[in-house]
Amino acid sequence: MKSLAVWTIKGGVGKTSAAVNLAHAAATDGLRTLLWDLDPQGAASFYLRIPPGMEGAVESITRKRTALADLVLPTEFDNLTILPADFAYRHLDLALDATKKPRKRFAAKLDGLADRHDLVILDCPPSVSLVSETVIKTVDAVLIPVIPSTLSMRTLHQVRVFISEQGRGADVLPFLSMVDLRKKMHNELGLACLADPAFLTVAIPSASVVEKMGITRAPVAATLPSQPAARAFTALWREIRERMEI
Amino acid sequence: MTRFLLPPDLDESFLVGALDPGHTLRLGPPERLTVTYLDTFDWRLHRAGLALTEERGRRRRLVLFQPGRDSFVVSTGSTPRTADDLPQGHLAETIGPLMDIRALVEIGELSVERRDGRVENHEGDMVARIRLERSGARAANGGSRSFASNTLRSSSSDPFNALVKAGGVEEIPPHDLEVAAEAGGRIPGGYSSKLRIRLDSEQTAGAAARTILLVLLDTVEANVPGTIDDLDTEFLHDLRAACRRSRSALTQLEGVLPPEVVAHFKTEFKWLGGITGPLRDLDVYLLEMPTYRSLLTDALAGNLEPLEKLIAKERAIAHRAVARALRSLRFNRFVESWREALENTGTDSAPLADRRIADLAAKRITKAYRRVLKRGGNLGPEPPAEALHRLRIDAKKLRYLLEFFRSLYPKTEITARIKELKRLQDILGGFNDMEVQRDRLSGYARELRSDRGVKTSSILTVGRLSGVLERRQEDFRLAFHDAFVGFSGEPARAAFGRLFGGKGSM
Repeated sequence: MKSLAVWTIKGGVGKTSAAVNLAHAAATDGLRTLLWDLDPQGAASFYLRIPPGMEGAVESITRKRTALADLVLPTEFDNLTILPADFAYRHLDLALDATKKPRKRFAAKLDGLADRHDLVILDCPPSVSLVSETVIKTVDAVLIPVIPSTLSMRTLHQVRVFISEQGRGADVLPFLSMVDLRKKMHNELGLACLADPAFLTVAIPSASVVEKMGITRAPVAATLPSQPAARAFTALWREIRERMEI
Repeated sequence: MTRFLLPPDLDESFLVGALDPGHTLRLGPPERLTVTYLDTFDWRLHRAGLALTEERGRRRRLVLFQPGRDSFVVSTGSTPRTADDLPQGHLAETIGPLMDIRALVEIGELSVERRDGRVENHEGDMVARIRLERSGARAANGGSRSFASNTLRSSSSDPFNALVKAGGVEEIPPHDLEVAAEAGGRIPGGYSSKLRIRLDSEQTAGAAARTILLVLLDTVEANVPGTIDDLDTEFLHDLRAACRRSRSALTQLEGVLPPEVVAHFKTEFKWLGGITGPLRDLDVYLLEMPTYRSLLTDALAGNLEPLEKLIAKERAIAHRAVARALRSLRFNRFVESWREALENTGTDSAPLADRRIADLAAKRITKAYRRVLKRGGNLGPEPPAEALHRLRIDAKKLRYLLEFFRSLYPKTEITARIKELKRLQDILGGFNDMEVQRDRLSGYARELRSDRGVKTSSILTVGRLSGVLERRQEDFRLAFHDAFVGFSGEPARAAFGRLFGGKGSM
């Protein structure tokens, strides 16, 4: 089983829509995929029509004996399951801090999912916290959405520094998100980003179909598979699959 | 997903009415699909509790049903035949090792009209993922519809509590393998490569012999179409095993069936064994190729390509010959008259036909056992190939007898004896395989030499391979002594004596 965290410290850059659409693409591609909604806002769960709130959500992560796998729910899509968000996740930092070895515990929890899944995609809260730190130290790769703007680029730099400070070699996979080619700056900065070999080459366009996910409450490819955004997510997934050697 | 059988006339509007309050049904457009159930001919997936279907509708997909888990779905471009054809990932990892060298065959086909959807609560959250299906099967002979069902799958039965409580629906298995198999004229688990014979110790020897030989004839016939169509190499393997066992039964149960019957059909089985032998040898070669490569260094393994090509070419010719033989008048008359002879239960004009089978079985097994002990006991620490070959044949005869009559003995005991014998046979068989393969390799080396297009390095590699096989053969020869001591030691003899009544010691 491979694990991929979608994370950034800046909000509104297409993090959750990437997590949901990529999870759907991976499931369609024949991977038993689990989307783990770690963001207490629960937007990923909402997109998949899964009501947030799980009894014992925090304990299932921090306590040794509580099985996380028991909380996994089916979604409307083949091969795609979800661990929905819980508002109690806002206290996850404190709970993790109270465990002896948070990273080890979290890694063991993730291992417990390997029997039934080929891939776990974690939608992380957009902040620097013990939760993100623990996740980043544990997963195989960290996917970072970057809007081609000065602030976003600055954030990417901060994120990279943070990840390298964790001293663990998780792959860092930045990709261009919400790209609007009508904007000159998006063009220029986008090109600059793609010169960086770490960047994934597929860019996700800024598209109303993605924004409308809040209304359709489904991955773009499930409702409008021929839309450019849907194709872009599929292509991005393929590129990630290759980079992560899944 | 829980699956319910709905009354045949029940449609979506009824279902909407049956939902618990506060729930809404959302259904997508209907889709028509053809659903083909796949398994190996010997039901390896079914035996492991799995079922595999290929769905052809708007998309072409393979669906794996696993007990206690969600079904797994993966797109496919074409119907997979061998384990190598499976899309990489969970499916290949799960069923590839089970299939091994067997191919997937079509078990049966259903036509399905499907609607996917969900049940929502008042906030638009999904309460259950659902799937409505109407399925139908056509009878194997292309006759009228033999089955039609109306089913509901749901990831949760919660929204349908009222319906379930009212008793209007019945929970059913997650797939329709039984129905599809019936449509395809098959019975799930109905075929196994293992010999499955049920005898009664009070039966006459004549009746028991007929039972054994009929089971073997069924096996021969069951494997004919797959051999002709060349679906995988196990069809021929099983056909030949049944043929050899039949011949052995005819010889070893001498006096039980009328002598003229025995003589005629032994000739026919010999013919069948002879005509199919070359193809099997070539199959073994091709199956062994990966092992051969692994025995050589990477650089040398590449040189085996001309050999592989040569064998593949010969195999195609050999297969045509076998297919011709299996379609021939001689073969068809043979199996037909053999069945007729076995089913003719009139008085057997054979001296031992009325003996109690339990007595005769014990006697014949003991005799065969002693022969193995005697021949093996006479061999020195480094026995010659010819002697090991004869011992291998004797051991095989004993094995066949034990398997024919295993239902007459306590299961754990007879299984233990067969296991002991098998250990010895594996060594004798391994030794013999190396002998046969080396022999054939030198033949191939000659053929390759006469082909100007083949590089000397390839011929030398075949020679190198032959040397590797010789060393392996030598390992088998050296292992023989210990294996035989284990097989013929006092504890094993005593156990044998207890089971078959004869004096275990010689």
